[in-house]
Amino acid sequence: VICFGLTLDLFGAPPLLAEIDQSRLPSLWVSLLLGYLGVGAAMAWHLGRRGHQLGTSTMALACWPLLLGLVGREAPVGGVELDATHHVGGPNRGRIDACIAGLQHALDEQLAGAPLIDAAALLKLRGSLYRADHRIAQVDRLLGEARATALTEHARDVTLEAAIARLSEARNLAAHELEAVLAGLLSLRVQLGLFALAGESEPVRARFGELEARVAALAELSSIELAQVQS
Amino acid sequence: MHATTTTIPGMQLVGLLLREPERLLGVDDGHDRSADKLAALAPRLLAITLIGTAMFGLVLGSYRGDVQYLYAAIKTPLLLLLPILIGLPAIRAFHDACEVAVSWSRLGLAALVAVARTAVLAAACAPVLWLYLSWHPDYHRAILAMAGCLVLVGWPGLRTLIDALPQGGRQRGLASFASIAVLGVLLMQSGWLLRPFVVRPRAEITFLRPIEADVFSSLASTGRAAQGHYRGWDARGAGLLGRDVQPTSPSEEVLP
Repeated sequence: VICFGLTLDLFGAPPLLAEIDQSRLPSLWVSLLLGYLGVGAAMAWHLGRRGHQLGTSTMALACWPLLLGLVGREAPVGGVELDATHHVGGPNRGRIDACIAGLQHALDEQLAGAPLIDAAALLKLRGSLYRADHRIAQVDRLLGEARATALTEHARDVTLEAAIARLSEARNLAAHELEAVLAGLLSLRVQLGLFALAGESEPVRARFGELEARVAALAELSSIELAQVQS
Repeated sequence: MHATTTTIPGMQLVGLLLREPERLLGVDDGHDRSADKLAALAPRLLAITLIGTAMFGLVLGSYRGDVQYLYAAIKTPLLLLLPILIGLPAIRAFHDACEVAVSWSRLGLAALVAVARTAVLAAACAPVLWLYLSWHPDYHRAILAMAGCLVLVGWPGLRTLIDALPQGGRQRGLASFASIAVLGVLLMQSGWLLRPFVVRPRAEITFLRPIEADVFSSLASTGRAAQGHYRGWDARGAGLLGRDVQPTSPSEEVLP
């Protein structure tokens, strides 16, 4: 394509060259532009063969540097879900972010070797904590509404009061567990400091695995307790 | 039920760009889905970019009117897209050098979201600028208003791009600074090559001005003029893509 541009410059029809010159585009620019579009055309063809939608393939013609990440990839099947955890959270979201960011910072300061804790695992743990916090916030709202309803009713409903008590107990248990996990994240950060001195990675990994299991159990605990309340 | 990229309506996508651009980016619970999101969202994000910046360009063209409406509407999307298209490899290289691994798909998605956000903000800013330009301000004030609007809408977009890139790495700040510097230089030079956007009311309308030197030569000329050494508006010197401009004759010099 570049050769074509240079040939056009050397032997092209004078009116065409005059037109190019009049529009202030030197021949080198024409060559570069044709080269760019040539790469874009090849990329559009490639994406089309991989099953990407027409809009994506057409876009590659002019904006192929933005789509380099799609080279060699098949088109996604169905829709891609947007970040589900972003709008999830409760009153402790800021504390969760601070704990995870502190841990991430401590991991970043690790001098050499493979990271002790995978960044993806850390993000997954954060998502689980968000959801646990979100559930607690939901239960708080539910308890507030239920207590307000119980106060306005003249006749005392024993069943409702018992359900509220059980839900409240489950909520306190979950909140306590969440606090314990957040404290565990802080102690893990301290253990990372010990790792820097002693160089033993196993206790850190084991502690992180324990915290992951605890958060997973927290989700199960919440569902079991809530099911009991509903029954 | 969670929204998916294929079911999300266009206006909701614009709302997400303004309020929660993080949701359009690729990491969910530790899984990087940038490539899938890029494939699904790229055409619509580009369309939003083109529409938003073309609206801003129309407003810029309104200062002169006539065919400048069309010219500015065509050139303004290029003003935003060219720096991103050219600067992406440099941004990736800076982050690699600073121990922050960035995939091409994440970088492409982050860049598209950032540019689309800037375009939406530019479109939102356009009526205010149009109102100001309709009062027929001085040419230099119009240029300043344009530059001010671009800075105003460009900063949130730039922040979106930098925040969207992976965290970590001991020198991430350096990589961010270098990326911003490269994008800034590219934006300046793109603006210089694609000028004029705002044309004086009685000036001749052209799609592009002659290529002469670069934006830094122009800034140097302006600096010399500010110090009292005025030698005309023509910038001196030329690079690979520029043309030499004959120096103005001594008789044409305007002494302070």
